[in-house]
Amino acid sequence: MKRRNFIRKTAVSLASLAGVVAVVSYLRQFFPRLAGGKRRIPLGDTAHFPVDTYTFLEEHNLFVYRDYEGVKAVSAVCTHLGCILEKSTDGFECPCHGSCYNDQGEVLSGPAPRDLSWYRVSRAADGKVVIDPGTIVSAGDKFLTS
Amino acid sequence: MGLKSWFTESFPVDTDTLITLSSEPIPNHLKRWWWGLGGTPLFMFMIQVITGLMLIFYYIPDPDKAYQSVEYITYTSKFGWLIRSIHRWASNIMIAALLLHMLRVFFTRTYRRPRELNWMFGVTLLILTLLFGFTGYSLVYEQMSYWAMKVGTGIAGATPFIGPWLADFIRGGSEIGQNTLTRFFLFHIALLPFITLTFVGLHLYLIRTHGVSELKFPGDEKSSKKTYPLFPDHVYTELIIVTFILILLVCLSLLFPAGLGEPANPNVTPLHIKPEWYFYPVFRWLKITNLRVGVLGPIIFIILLYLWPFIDRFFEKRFPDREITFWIGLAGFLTIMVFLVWEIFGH
Ligand code: HEM
Ligand code: FES
Repeated sequence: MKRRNFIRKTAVSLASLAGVVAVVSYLRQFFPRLAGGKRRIPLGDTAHFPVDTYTFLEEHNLFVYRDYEGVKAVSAVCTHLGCILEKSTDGFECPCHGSCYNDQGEVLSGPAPRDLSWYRVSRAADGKVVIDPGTIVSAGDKFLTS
Repeated sequence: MGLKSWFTESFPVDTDTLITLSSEPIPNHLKRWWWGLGGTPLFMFMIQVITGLMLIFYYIPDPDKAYQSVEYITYTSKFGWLIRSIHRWASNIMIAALLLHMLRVFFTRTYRRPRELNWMFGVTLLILTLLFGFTGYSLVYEQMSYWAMKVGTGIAGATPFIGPWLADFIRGGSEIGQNTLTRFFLFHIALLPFITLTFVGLHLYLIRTHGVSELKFPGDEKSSKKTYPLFPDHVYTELIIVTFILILLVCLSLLFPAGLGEPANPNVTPLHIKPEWYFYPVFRWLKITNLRVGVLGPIIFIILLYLWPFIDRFFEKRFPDREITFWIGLAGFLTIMVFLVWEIFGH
């Protein structure tokens, strides 16, 4: 290979590489990295929650259920397109496209593709009871209070 | 030097060319206004640009202030309610006019060779106009806006392959927030108008170069000429339409001014959410199918719409003496109407 050709080819390759990097980083700019870390939610004194009832925690979009044995927490976000569910007499109902779930969070009818997620409730190191939206458990798992 | 000669010297336009350009021959059938419905969306677009510009004077694209700024426009600023109502109503009439224009092109089959590409530009314009509706509705940041954004970006997220990427791009993150509103605002007032203008330009350019397809009606044989000039004859017809629409717009805005719902609340979905009427068929479809089919359906529909001129040709060649495509088209149209009516009356 001639010296001149070598230099020309290297230059062209480097320039194209620089071009690709420029375009990619330009496009990357449209996808912000937002810290979506799921933070633990402190529940406070679990005795505050009414017994045998699903209480809606508005700012966290979940329902907390308490009975005499313990507490559990289920997502209130419809698995179809993300609307917030309503509590119906024996389950949950979505106001958007009418998906219905039973008390266990299982889809009964409607377009929802998946069952609702139950989140782990546990006692943190500092002794507080917290919900961990990062950890999914089965509908039967309860944090035992008694 | 007189003013006129100064002007012609500084701005050397050939008036003869202007006259030839503006007296473009138009086929006689366009004297019937309902065959010339393409001009109506064009006029509505101009109204949207003018009223939209006025609205930007007060609108603030900030989740905490957007709703209040719309409230200010509606109840405090002088004639703000009228501008806003006209903008709202014109968007609805524009979409209705577009659908009618499309139906007339469809059922007169003037999308055929050599106008396939212009039909595709047309479909693009329809999609762009629907996007205008979606982004504009969201800017108000009332409950319905918020949940329309939620469902809309959710649908984008369920698109095969590019879904998650697309949804993050539209939202500017994984949740709806400031980034989303900034983006919707930008789409609504800058990107979409720019792209739409480009496609309107292409659409009109192709109409001029191909000419509008001539349709024959009984009675047309009487006149010796097959065409009449764009200016002043057709412009006159259009002016009558424009006057009528302006009156209609003002009446609608006076009788049913644009209202304002509850401000957006990300934690509570209102009990009966409904999009604008032109999304009803898709909304109903989402309710009766699962997520995958719900999203694939509209995508396939749009692809078929784009390819329609070629599908039409295929059937035409296969079955020359049966009007299969007419019946397919009619069936498709009626299905959409059924979905629309179903969503109006169903819950
Ligand atoms: C902003 C949107 C649009 C504007 C401003 C517009 C404007 C026009 C105008 C002025 C004409 C001349 C004939 C007539 O008025 O009927 C026309 C023709 C046509 N339009 Fe549109 N249009 C739009 C959207 C569409 C859509 C949504 C479609 C279909 C998907 C479409 C497909 C066509 C075709 C194929 C023709 C040629 C018809 C013929 O030669 O007879 N256009 N358009
Ligand atoms: S978002 Fe719940 S059914 Fe569609």
